[in-house]
Amino acid sequence: MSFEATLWLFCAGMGASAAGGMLGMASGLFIVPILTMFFHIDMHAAIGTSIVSVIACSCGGAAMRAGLTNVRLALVLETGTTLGALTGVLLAGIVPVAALNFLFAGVLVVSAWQMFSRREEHADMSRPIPWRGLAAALDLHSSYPDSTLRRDIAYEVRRVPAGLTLMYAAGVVSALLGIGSGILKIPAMDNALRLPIKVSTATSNFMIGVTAAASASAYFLRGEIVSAIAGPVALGSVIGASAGARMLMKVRSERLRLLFLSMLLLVACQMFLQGFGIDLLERAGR
Amino acid sequence: MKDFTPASMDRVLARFFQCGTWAACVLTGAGLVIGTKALTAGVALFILLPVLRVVVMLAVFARQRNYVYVTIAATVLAVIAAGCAIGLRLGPLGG
Repeated sequence: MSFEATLWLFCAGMGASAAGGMLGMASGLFIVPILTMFFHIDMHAAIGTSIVSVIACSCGGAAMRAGLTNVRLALVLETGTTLGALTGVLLAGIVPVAALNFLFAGVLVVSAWQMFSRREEHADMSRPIPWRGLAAALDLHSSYPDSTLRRDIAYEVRRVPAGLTLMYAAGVVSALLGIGSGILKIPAMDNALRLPIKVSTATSNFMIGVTAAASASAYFLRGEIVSAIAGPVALGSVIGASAGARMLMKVRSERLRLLFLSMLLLVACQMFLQGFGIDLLERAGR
Repeated sequence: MKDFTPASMDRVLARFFQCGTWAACVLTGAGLVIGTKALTAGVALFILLPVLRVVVMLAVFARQRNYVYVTIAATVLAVIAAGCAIGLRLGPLGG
């Protein structure tokens, strides 16, 4: 690979991860469209590169937030996500590329919707704590330090089997599309398990790396990951993700949110067209 | 199980991960200059990092004699190993 192409790949990884980091998610949603659109890389190679970039992002950006991550819950849910990833790896050979494009477009639209409708803290915490259930047996209930109230807030975990099922689905999508699918874990975390938002964000970020590693190792051994492409993108991702996470603390404007929202929808349109075999850039170039 | 201190485990995992990330970055960066082998090793190290984290978690839980979680961590590792076996057996897509 030429020096110039390597440099551009590095920049692409950095830009995508910085954008992802600012939104508090991994770079996956941007990497695959960039690679297929601008670099004309084959969809499967792009997915392999993207999954490595997602791991790199989770290394660079997600510094463990003190006390917020429920490590035990993460480990329990990882059994679901890794099994899903395994299924996704098996499916990847069968599902046609056009279907992958449509699925990608769908996930982008769902992500945009998630960003549009903000997450709300569930007020329904008054029900009696289920001390029996799976959550109690696995000792999942925990507490987290709240910086504004300056005390530890206890929370309990609900409906673990439902959460595990949703995590399995998130794992399948993650492996198929090469994304972290943090955005798909949010409904599972918020609605099924009823976690406080801070805890669910930190725990979900913690899980992304392992989920991605499960499919990445399979793709790597399959010879699907081209290191000349994945290397520079991963390196850019580490730098971009840590820069993006820092910017997240400073920038929190409404305008930025809308900009990204429209960007997601635009990319969704592009992936949809790609599914139909229409390449806009190539047409414009002619 | 109450002797479990989440903060100490967090710290161990965070430090481990920081060192690993640096190593993977350096290796990948060197690979861009000296050639494909180091580059492939760097990418492989990136992929291995989260897996190694599960191994560290397993070790910590084993030291606390929390066997339920040792089993869960082992399950996760077994699933990843199964993925590797599938990857090796199936070979490249479309080939």
